Amino acid sequence: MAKDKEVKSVDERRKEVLRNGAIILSLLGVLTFGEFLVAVIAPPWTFILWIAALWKTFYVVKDYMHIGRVFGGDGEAH
Amino acid sequence: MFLRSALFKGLLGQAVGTVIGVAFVWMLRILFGAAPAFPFDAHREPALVGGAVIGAISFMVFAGVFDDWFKWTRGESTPDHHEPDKDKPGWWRYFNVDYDHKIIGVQYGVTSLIVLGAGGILALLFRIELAQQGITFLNNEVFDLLFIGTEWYQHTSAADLYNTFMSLHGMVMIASILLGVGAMSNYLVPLMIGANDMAFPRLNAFAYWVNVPGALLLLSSLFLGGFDTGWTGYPPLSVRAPIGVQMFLLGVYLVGLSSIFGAINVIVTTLRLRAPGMTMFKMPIFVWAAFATAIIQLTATQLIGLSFQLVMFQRLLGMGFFDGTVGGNPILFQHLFWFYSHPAVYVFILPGLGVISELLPVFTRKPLFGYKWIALSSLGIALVGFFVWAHHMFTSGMTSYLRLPFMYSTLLVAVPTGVKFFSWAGTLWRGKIHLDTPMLFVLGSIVIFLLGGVSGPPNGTVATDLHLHDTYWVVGHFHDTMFGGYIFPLFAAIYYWFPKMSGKRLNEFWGKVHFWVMFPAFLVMTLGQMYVGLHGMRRRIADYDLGPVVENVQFWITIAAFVIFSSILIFLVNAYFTAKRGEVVEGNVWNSRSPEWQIPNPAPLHNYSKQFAVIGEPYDYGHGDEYVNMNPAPSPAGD
Amino acid sequence: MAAHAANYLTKTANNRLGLWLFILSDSFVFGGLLVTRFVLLGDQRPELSQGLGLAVTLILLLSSFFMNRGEVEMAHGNQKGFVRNTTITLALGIAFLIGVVGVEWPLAAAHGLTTDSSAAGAVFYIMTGFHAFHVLTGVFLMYVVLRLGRKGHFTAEKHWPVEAAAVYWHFIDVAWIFFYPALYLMGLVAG
Repeated sequence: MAKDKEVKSVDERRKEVLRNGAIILSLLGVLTFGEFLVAVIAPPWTFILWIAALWKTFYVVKDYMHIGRVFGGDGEAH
Repeated sequence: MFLRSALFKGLLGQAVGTVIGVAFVWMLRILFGAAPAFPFDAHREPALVGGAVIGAISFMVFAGVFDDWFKWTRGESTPDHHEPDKDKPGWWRYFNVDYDHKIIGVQYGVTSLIVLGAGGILALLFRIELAQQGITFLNNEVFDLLFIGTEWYQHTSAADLYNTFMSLHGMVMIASILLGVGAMSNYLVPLMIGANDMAFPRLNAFAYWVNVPGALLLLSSLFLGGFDTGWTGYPPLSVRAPIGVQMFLLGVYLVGLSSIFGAINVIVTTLRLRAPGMTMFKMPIFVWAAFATAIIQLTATQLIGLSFQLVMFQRLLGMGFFDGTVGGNPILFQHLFWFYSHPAVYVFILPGLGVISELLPVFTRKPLFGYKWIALSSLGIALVGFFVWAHHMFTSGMTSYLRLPFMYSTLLVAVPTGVKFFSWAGTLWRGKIHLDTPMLFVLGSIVIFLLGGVSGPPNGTVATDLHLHDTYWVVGHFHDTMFGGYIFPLFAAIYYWFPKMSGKRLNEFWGKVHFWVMFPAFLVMTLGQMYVGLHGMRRRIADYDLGPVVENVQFWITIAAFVIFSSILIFLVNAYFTAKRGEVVEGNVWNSRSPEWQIPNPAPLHNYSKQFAVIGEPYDYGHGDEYVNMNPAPSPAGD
Repeated sequence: MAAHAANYLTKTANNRLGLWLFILSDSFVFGGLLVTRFVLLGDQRPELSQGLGLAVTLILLLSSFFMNRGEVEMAHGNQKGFVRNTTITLALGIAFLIGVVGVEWPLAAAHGLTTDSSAAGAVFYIMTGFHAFHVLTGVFLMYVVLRLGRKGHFTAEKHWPVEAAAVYWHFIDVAWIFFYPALYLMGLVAG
């Protein structure tokens, strides 16, 4: 997989990463609206809100904050 | 000359900043119509808190702690290290912002001893009051005679001065211990792992300097009516206490910041700057202790900061976190507070226990028994420590089903602690014991910490704790663990590493006198405290009526406290004369295998002129092969 | 030169670990605030403007998106893209601050939810206040890197301050991901 990336040009890689960022944003948006709807329709279901929050955190921490870099991975991908 | 030092500039900045802060908050409040400008009384507390915050920030700015960071925000680069000014005398660096971890370590250490002295004097004063029944010389008349601004506060009890001294003694000593822990971690960790400095030298300087305004704020509470809450600052008492409590809360907050940033440095340094070949399990054992300590400091400290801020905001803005009448809950404070403050005691003792494990093999000339077990037991104590906090709250009225799990988690701490004792006994077993001064203090630590360990489980067991809670028994137990886990190891460390810091060896005779005065006096004190506790003496009270036997023991506790204090004076005099004209020692004073003893005394400016390589085990005393190769062939990889 | 670059990589790796440790530490504050909220309020929540809550939440999510774009552009050497996206992030950050402190606070106070009215008021102001303080520091950091970036201080290889500001900004977003449901969605409005 790492070798695949090396073949691509810098600009292609950039576009790919930017597209990934947009996908994450739409996922976060969908989850947030989902949370809002759950709160309106079924207030007692707080556990769903917790799961959604953890899910969103997972996306942000992994794809926006690049936690993998702390452990040495993903060094060249950015 | 002193007038141009960072310390003086910072103090000046703090004074100016405080005045500006007071005026600023005062004007803001007039502007927003909080109250008419006069009388000032209505603005006093918010204005003083604002002044204290801005004063502390001004200290840091004026002292120049932020200089390099300001340059970075403007895009200027700065050298990794600022070379010391050759024209200035040697002491100059210690009064200025310096990025060398050895300087910062010594700064931490000296500040720690000064603060220790302040806390000790407070203890002596209120011990006099306890020496006999009926003495109440620390009363409010004396308080008002001694201190300014008497019209600024209302006494909440007749013994406010006693209460303030007792409360301050607790928190000042904690600040002193945190500083001492910082001293040991900062000085020793980079030297031991073969680094030339900490990972973030500027952050390191910040973490030291923020303690100075913090300690000043803490002590300034004395002049603002004090605080009668004990060091725990439980609401609702802390919400009603005089303004002094705000300075106490802020001061502790700053000292806590120091812990957090210091911890980041220790963890990154340990994980990333080790010498080639030094795996985690080949580090000197003290580094493991410092690492485990840093994990607690990094995370738990935030919660005492939060709990104290909640009290501050409740006082300033009427936010009812702990006010039952508007739906608040004072027990919440205790949970947040103890989530830090229990692990905090492991912060206090783990470095000390690390020193014990570090020195024992040197003075028994034997391998450390069960290295990996000791290393992991430090980590184990730190981790289990996160799950025991509510054992301070068995009598607080918290949900009662929580008692049992917290009792068992508390008793679980005895397991990793027991591992340490077992290993120490195993190391001593058939060793060639050399009774130099550091070793005396190590052995003293082990005895005293054992007493502290044995007196602990009765407090952690619900059935007995209901009886013992808030008695002097707890005070005795706590002083045992602190002296065994911190004070005695600290002095062992000072006697041991003093040549590394100064190039001179502390006088052995006076060192031994110090030990033989302090050790028995401490035993009298702690056993006496436990005794009076079992006979009904409560903590934190100014007077008592428990009959002649308790009174007699109380008298001897006071005498013992004075003897301990005088033994520390002996140490200070010894340190002074040694620094002036002590025996100059070169090289490996204690015949240690550790890398910091393979370089000259005092340690050179950038520690190791050449990166050493680890080729053996750290504690294989008596086995012949080396731990470190100080002169390795350059590696072909060239990294 | 190679040694110099390697030195930069090592330092950046150290800095990154340090930053993440700080984030770990700071998340304990936010965790403590969440604990405070659930201990004091339980299954009740303060009465707040739902539309405004959703709006500021989306603003913050969007700002994270643009922050990510800004960082990615810098990492690929596109300085213009970096400046454009970071400026948008900065604006969104300020919009969030105005939304919470400038609009939501007076609105809540007008409905009787003041700092000293009830535990709910205390919890609401302390949580949003702590978070807003973090946003403020994030905005400041972003302003610093934006200014340096305009002057051309960063390159595709060397832009650690940009990464640091971005990671910190996303962390503030994560904190709000928990605070939003805790304040606006979970439980029933106290009656």
